[in-house]
Amino acid sequence: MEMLVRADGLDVNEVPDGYVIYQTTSDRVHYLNKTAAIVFELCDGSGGADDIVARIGQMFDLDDATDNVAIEACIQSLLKEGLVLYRSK
Amino acid sequence: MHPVSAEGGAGPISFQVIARSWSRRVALLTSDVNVFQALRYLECDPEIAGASQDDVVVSVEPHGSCFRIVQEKVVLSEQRSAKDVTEFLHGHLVLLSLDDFPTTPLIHGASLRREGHRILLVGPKGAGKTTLTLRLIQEGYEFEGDENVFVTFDGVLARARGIRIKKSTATILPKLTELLSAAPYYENNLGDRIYNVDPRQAGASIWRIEMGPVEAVAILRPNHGGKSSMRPVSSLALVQEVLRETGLPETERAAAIGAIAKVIGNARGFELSLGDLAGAVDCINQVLEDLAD
Repeated sequence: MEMLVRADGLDVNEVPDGYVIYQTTSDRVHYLNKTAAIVFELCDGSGGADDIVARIGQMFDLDDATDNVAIEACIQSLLKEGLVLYRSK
Repeated sequence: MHPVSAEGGAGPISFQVIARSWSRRVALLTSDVNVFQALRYLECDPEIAGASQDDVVVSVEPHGSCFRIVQEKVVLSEQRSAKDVTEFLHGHLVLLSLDDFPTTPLIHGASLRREGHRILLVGPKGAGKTTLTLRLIQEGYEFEGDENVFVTFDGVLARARGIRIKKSTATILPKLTELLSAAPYYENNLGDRIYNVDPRQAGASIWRIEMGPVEAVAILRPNHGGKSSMRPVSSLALVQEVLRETGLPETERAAAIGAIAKVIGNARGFELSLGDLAGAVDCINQVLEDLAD
């Protein structure tokens, strides 16, 4: 089963409205708002994208399909930037 | 003028210019009056709180057709003219400053305090940092620096340097005209004069630099000819903007960005559309009053 995990080589710094992340491998800085920071934190190897969407839905009592799409888009963005990745369990 | 004896007693008369970094007090000595006048562009002698101080002596003396620059019996360079000497020592003093904090990020910005609260003005060249800084000094703000600020996990620290003023600034702040007539200057390759002014001569009651927290950061957006206005920005946007104006060290970049995120990210952030100076001062005053409440 494929689980989402945070990538190695990240220096994560918390600021009041999110995270500032320095990616050492690419020498890039990323800015995650609070929502993206929560998604990033949930990429802890305990589930895949569907699990994370479901967990956030439960946390914030979301039942709108557009919310789910936004969370999935956020996960895809984190994957594209190399901040999270899939790892086989 | 600051004539001194290089030997501390009888001996050839030298002229002295003092320049500071965080940990060093550099005495630039020369017996050549033209070199002395040129070196005054580098003069910078603030009070620096909490720093140990090493005294460094750099002498500049005629040597054949050149000027020989010597520090602690080591020949640093030989230069052909007083202007070349100034350019070389300008770079040397910057490197000495950076040597105090070799792995620390450096923001392009000004640092001022009022009633114990520190505010940074951050913006690109030409945004109006120096003009606004001069105006704020005249309004009673304490000056630390108007060009570079080191950011450590323990707080920020302005790099010691006099205020560099272009002649065009004097037209915006007419009180400066008389001051600049006596100020040392450097003439760039375009023939423009850039003056070195001690903030105490520009109206600051003291010039004291100390490391400490920053409570507010204003990102400057030029709005020449318009009204000034201010709006809050989020922490993320603030860090993003400040990093655009930050020089990061070659090594330990993650820690450097972490320091910016911690120290700047926890300050209140504002975007200042910088038009009329009186309006800009009102905006900054309001931020500081809110902090005091």
